[in-house]
Amino acid sequence: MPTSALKPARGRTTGSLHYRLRSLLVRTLVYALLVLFAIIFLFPFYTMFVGSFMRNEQLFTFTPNIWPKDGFQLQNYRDLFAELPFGRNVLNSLILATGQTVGVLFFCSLAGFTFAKRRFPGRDALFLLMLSTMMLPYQSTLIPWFLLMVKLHWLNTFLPLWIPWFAPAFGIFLMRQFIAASVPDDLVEAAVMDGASLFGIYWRVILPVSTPALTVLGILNFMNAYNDFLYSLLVLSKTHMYTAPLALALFRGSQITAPRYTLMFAGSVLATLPLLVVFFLFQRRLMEGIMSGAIKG
Amino acid sequence: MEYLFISPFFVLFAIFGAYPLGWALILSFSQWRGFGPMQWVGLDNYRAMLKDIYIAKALLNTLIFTAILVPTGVLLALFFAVVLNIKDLRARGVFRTIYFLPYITSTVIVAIVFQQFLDDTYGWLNGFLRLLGLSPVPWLRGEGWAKLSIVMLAHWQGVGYNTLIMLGGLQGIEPEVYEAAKMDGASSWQTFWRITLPLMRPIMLFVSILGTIGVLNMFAQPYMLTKGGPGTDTLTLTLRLYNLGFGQTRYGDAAAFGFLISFLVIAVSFLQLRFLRSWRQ
Repeated sequence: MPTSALKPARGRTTGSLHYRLRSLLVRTLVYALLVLFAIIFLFPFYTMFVGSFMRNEQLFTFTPNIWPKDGFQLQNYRDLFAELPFGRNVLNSLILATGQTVGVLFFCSLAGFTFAKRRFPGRDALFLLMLSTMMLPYQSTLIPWFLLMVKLHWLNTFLPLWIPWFAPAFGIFLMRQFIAASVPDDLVEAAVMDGASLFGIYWRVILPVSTPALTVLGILNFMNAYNDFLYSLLVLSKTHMYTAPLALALFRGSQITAPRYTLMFAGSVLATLPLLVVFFLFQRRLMEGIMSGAIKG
Repeated sequence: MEYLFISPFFVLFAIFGAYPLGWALILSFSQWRGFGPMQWVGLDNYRAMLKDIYIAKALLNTLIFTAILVPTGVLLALFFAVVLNIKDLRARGVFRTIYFLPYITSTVIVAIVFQQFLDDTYGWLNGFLRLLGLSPVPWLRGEGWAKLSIVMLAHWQGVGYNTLIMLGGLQGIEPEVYEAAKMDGASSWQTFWRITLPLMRPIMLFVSILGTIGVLNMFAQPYMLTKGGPGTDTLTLTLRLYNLGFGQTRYGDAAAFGFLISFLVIAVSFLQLRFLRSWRQ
């Protein structure tokens, strides 16, 4: 669908009835399609929400969760909290994501600033070395990484999900690109003239002007950490240390037990809410950041 | 001081990246089940890997997923991006947000909702098919169908993100280029085929590289939705790695297999980068 399809045409066809009709038809079709897809993208959220207020039997009918016939019953939520410390599980997800993101923002912006604005022997070689490690897929180290966590006695703590992830090459790259392009050298030099320490420059000059990049990096990192599954699955095995995704996976059923959808729906609603709040707070910045090519540098 | 500021990455990489990597290399030549002494077995793990039918199946499945998901993903995202880039489209931002929403949701949660949605008897999708007078489909238990279900789930979750990247690409095209085309009397379709598409090539390739790496890493989707089944129909490389290492604690075999996956990921991204470079010229 070309971008100019909906613009009023200039030139020979202007005003002709034929053109107007065609344009109207195209417009209607485009909107119909957009709305159809919006429904497709939203419908699973709707079924999850409505399903979380239903009894299991209601779910297993031929027209399942379109509307809770008995009203919005909170029984599933009560059952969920009776079986699991689910409040704690959601809190764990938040602690995991917040802790990791704070570290990421600090170390990535510090290194990004240094790579962007300072000269020192071996800078470019080190930067390239750092970038080349991004090619290394995690699968090759998954097993020994886990064994290392066992050795460090870090199982069932947040440390394995915080410390190793504090300085990702991708984040440093992103911060370097942003600071190099949008912080003028004069600003840094003026601060040096004033006798500011290197950390002082970073803290008082660089950080305040880097908020757009910090927001994008922070939100993306927060979302990924909040939703992490594989690494949490490896290192967290106690129910009270479970994150929300791990806790929900408990109800998915096995060869012999049926999945317990109503409980999973209730949990999913509760686990999704905090992330939705964070998303809508920073939505504009985040989406613009992705569009502006922040993630590809 | 500068070295101190950039040191966190290098220290963390040495401890949590390089050290496990060296360990993995030794493990891959050994047999070890997590306790007792390690036994050096030379290339046995690698040899066994070549004969492991599960690994062959996982590799085949992953290739099929890549072949389906990446091209259709790029085309869908391009389509949505072009439509959502129309200047006087009402509620453009609302649509963009709605399409992006699944991306921020946990794959575990998405899989839970899809599992019920695709249920044989009581799922929405089969209910809808019956309404249309069609026969229901074993979405999660039928061979081939289970793959299609994973594809639907992955697209539903990922297309909004790719659309945003494509939108960024579209907005990077100079308006003058379009105006010049209009002056020359180019139709909308001509403009799309001759200008938009060629200028979008680098972005499309970038999205396909991201997508390929994503598919090669696919784990939570089949783990949650199908557990790799029916049979081995949706077993992926990373799921097999997880089963080998953490299900059966065959650490040596798993380490060797991890290297195979890594080699694959690196080789594929390298090929695509070369392709990107030659395409740009």
